[in-house]
Amino acid sequence: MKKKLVIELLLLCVAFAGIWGIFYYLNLAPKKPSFELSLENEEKLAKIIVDDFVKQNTIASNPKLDSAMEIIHERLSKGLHVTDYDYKIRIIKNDSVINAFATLGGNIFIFSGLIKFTESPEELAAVLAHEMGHTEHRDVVDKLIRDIGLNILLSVLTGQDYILLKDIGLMITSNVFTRKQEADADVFAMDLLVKSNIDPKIIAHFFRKLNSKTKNFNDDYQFLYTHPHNNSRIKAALEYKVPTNFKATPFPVEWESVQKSLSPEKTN
Amino acid sequence: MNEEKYLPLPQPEELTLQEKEDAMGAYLMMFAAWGAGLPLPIINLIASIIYFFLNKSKSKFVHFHCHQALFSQLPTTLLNAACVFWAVRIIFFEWEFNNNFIAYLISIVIINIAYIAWGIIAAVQARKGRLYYMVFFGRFAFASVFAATNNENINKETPTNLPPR
Repeated sequence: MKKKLVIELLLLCVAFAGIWGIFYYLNLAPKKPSFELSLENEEKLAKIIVDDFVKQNTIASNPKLDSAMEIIHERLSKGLHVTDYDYKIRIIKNDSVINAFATLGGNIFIFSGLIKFTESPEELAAVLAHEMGHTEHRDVVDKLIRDIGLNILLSVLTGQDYILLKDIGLMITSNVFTRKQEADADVFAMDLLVKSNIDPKIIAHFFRKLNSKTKNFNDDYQFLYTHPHNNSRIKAALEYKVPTNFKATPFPVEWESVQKSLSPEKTN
Repeated sequence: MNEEKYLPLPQPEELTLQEKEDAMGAYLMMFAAWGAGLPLPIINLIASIIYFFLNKSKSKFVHFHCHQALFSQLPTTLLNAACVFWAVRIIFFEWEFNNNFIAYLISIVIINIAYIAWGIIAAVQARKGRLYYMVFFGRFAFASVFAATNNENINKETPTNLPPR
């Protein structure tokens, strides 16, 4: 009796596994769209969108600011080593916004409010590294294709629909990525910071400061949010394993004077 | 099987109508969730457990069918619960909606349809006073309910109800 019990139990398990296996083999999952927007088209689209965006906003520029951004950009680019993008960083004159976002083609915009909020160039480098992560993972392209569709996106290259351009601009600046994309961009940023001789735990310090600005949040409901909350990011940054031979090299930048140069600003 | 000792098996003509209907009722607990109006797999299992404890002492025949219905309900409930858990993870925690999940989901649908059909057959057979044996669960229920503890032996010529082969 026991032997037959075991045999019949095995038969049931094999039958279930067999059914599961057959449908797994049939591969009925919908095919994920591949990145159909080529780098060349992304570059062309980026030029149109960025040109329009620059016209709509005031871009901050002065020798101290530009020099500091160049130093940070150069260090991160060396850490990045191989990339398809030629990164261009622009500062938007708006002290009330503490934000940065990546657009197409390696263009990254930072609000002057974020520069004033950060305490060191290393903190800004961490934010830039995160945005580079989104660019390298093509999260912006993915989001636009998902939200607008590839055909409409390519039509902008030919028709340059003004209303559509504004819509795309708004979508990009809203920088709502999935929680996985945000978490992956954080990991990318920490890896890049290490390669650029910047302490990745600066991310934790930055988010702690950000937390003090946005106090009302309940960790229990994090799963309902579209991106990981700062507490999760702080935890991830603190748990990140830094190589034993890592040595942080501070930027040769007087950050306070860079921040002061933003006001009064010399804009173009 | 013949070397095993088992209690005398009840035959259809020896059973009362109440016993047959009580035995059939055990299999109808799989529809309890529909009755409650909630798509929760656990409701079927709870209903089966309650029915089992309320009816097992009535007769060996009823006990056998309650036992088979309850224990066959268990793996179905577990598989359905795993499917619900996986789906919630995909929706709220950004787990990947991949081929593996789709294959599992289709398998669960097939298993549930097969189990419902199998349960209905068992219910009909129970209503006729027959000991219907599901794969594995029938043998398990038989061993649990009819295994003899002394040297009693049955010696009946071609009865309707027999042990599982």
